[in-house]
Amino acid sequence: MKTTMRNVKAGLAALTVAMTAMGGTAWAGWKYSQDVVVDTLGMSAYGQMGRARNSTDSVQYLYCMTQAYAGSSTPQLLCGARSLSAVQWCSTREPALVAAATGINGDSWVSFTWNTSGQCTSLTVTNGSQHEAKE
Amino acid sequence: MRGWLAAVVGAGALGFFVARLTASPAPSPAVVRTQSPLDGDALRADLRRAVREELRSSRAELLAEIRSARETGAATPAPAEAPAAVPEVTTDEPASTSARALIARAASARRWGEDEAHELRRLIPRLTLQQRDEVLATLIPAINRSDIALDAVPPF
Repeated sequence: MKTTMRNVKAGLAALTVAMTAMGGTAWAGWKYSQDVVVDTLGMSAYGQMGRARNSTDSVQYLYCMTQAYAGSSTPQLLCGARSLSAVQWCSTREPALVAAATGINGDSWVSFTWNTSGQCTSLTVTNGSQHEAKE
Repeated sequence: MRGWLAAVVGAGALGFFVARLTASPAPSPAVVRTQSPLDGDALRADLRRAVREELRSSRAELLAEIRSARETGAATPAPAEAPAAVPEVTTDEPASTSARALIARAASARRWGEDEAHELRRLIPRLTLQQRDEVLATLIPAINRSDIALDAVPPF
């Protein structure tokens, strides 16, 4: 009986040690960081707001703005991305894209595409716990 | 409106002269005649006076109608030459000209910095939708082709 109890205690101690060793990673959740990427050939750009903000290079940015005017029913959306090597912009008054932009927050992952006229053709906004938050 | 006024004035003037030809020869207190009843100058003066009176009367009637319509909530008749549509944003020709000139200068200098961004932000709200689209359709592809190099700050 004594031996059994000793074995149980030893097992619990080992489990505690193991969980403590692993816990730093497993309990903090999935993390994902993404610098701003501008693909001029593929006409797409993406990145994380938080990562762009926290980067130490003072170059990269992700930027989306909506402009609304009195008397106008169609707001304008402008999005831009700058990586360490390229910068691209697009604009649109497409209501679906303008609506998607309202989902962007400071920790979002944002992706957009454009055409040769500089018109935005898609906007993807992802909000998830994995994304790097602004510090 | 003009036709209606002309009709009123014409009818008034005609009535005035018919009355003059058929009425008693006693002069109106406002009309002092020193010459014969068929004197041309006197007739012209009478005609001018009659037209003025009719116009004054018609104008007063029209104003009264408009006032009455407003008081009763009825819509005031739209002027015949009213514009078909109100522009979505007040057009400012100098603003669109300035915006085009701004982009032309940037294209020439191959550079777009904070000053240009500030100027564009000032101009854009004064452009119509069409003008805004035109400006952006010129500037953005030029940026994307690297014909215009951006400073560190966003261009808008």
